[in-house]
Amino acid sequence: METDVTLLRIENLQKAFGSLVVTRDLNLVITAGERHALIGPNGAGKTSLLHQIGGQLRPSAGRILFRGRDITGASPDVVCRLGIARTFQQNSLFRGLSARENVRLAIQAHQGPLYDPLTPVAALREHRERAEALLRRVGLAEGLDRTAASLSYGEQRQLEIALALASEPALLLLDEPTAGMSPAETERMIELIRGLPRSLGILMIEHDMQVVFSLADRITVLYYGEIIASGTGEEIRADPRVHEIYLGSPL
Amino acid sequence: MVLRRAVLHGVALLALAAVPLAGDYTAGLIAEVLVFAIFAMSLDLLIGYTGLMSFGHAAFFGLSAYVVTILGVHLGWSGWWGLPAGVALSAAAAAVVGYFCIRVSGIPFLMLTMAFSQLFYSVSVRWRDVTGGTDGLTGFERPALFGLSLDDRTTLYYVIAAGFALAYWFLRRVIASPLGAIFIGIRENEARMRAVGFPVQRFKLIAFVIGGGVAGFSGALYAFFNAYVSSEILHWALSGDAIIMVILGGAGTMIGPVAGTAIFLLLKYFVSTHFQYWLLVVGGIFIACVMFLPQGVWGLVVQRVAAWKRT
Repeated sequence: METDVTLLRIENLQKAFGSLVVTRDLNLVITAGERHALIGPNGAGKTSLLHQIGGQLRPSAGRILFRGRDITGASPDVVCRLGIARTFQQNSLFRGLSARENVRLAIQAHQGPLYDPLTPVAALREHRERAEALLRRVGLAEGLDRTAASLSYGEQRQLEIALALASEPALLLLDEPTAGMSPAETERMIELIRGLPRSLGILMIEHDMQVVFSLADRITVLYYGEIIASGTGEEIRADPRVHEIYLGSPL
Repeated sequence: MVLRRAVLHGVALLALAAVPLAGDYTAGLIAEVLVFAIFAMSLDLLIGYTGLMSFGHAAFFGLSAYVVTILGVHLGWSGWWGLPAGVALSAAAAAVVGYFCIRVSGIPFLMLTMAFSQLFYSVSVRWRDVTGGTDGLTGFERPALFGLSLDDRTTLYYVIAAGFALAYWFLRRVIASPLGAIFIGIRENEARMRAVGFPVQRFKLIAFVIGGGVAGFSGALYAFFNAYVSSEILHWALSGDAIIMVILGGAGTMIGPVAGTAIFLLLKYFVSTHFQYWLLVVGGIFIACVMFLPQGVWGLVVQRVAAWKRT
């Protein structure tokens, strides 16, 4: 019964760089449409976990199953085509290209054409319209011809989301979507994430507890590569070990 | 915008067509510039548009020039058959070389492409029976076009000018196409291209093969132009010259490599007649260009025009 709704299943995942273990015997299940937050202090291995799911890092041991399919060690492009898209903690954009072209490229990766050397890109009207619709959806409606590099930091974060959504994923990995944002920008980002379709699974790293508790269905706490707690917001709030780690922080 | 571009292209074509009026010497000089401009444009597809710093591009230019000449001299093939054979073999060689080279990037990529091209160079030096070794290979008979022999300088010029126009048109189409957009995306951010779902390696290889094929096209035209090949055209020094042409003119633009080639070769001819160490002058200009004009000569023109339009 559970397998029907399991989107992502991580089994006994291990990752070590020499003697430094960043992921330790990690088991995690994310169901379809679930919004799952990953929290933990710096160096807990949150981004490393996202990298292993997204294909940027190869796990040392264990398995990652997406919709029942083993994607352990698959390359990022394969992972993306299977339905997992991601954003990066540090903005990773096509800086010299326009915001529209950034998104259009991501759409092209998903819809093709890939091998057409003669049709002008300008003639791909569907791409263009879809790119504009996606950009509007993430709150970037104006100045779409500006280069990604010339956008404000917050706008670049929004563009990151648009790039990820362009592949119509079933699972979205967000690495600190509100990092470095002003309170107003953070508020907009929360609304943006909240407004994403409920059918979309989200695994999100976030430091802002307010964001975490307002958005996540379930929360997992990582500490030195290990899961020390996983459950609903209330369960996490009530967990004594979590309090130990976050001593002094408002939970 | 479209209209202005069409007018500019029309003027450029007319100028190309009018060159023979300036006499055989000038036409010969421009023909040589055009041959190497195709070569530089094909390298710019790698350096300027895909972000692949190849230091072995002469391999594909030289291979094709040798193929055309060898087929003509030893087997009596017309250059018109040699040309597609040269292009096909260059593209095939680029596929093999590229298959190994794209596994690495940055300096290792540069070194590996250079090592492969030196392999071709060694073969051309050692395989004397076929290539003539360091003496080179003479005796290639230029083909004829509609009964007009390419030994006629004007006919030769028009064939090369037509080849240049064709290569320019083709590369422009590629760069403006969805495939070209992928190349540019790789240049901008390779890791992101992977993360949005592109099998990046495959597209690097495709760029390498297209670049190699077009370089082969320029090499075949060089064989027509010179009717003589020697191992020089496979040496890494020519790969280096081509990089200078691309960067001097402006990498990542269509016109830049053409301008860079013209500057490089004209300096070579005019300075070398007065000054033995002409490469010193080219080197000085190149250094100044990299320091003060990182976008190249054409990049500066584009900037100035844009600034002028704004005022």
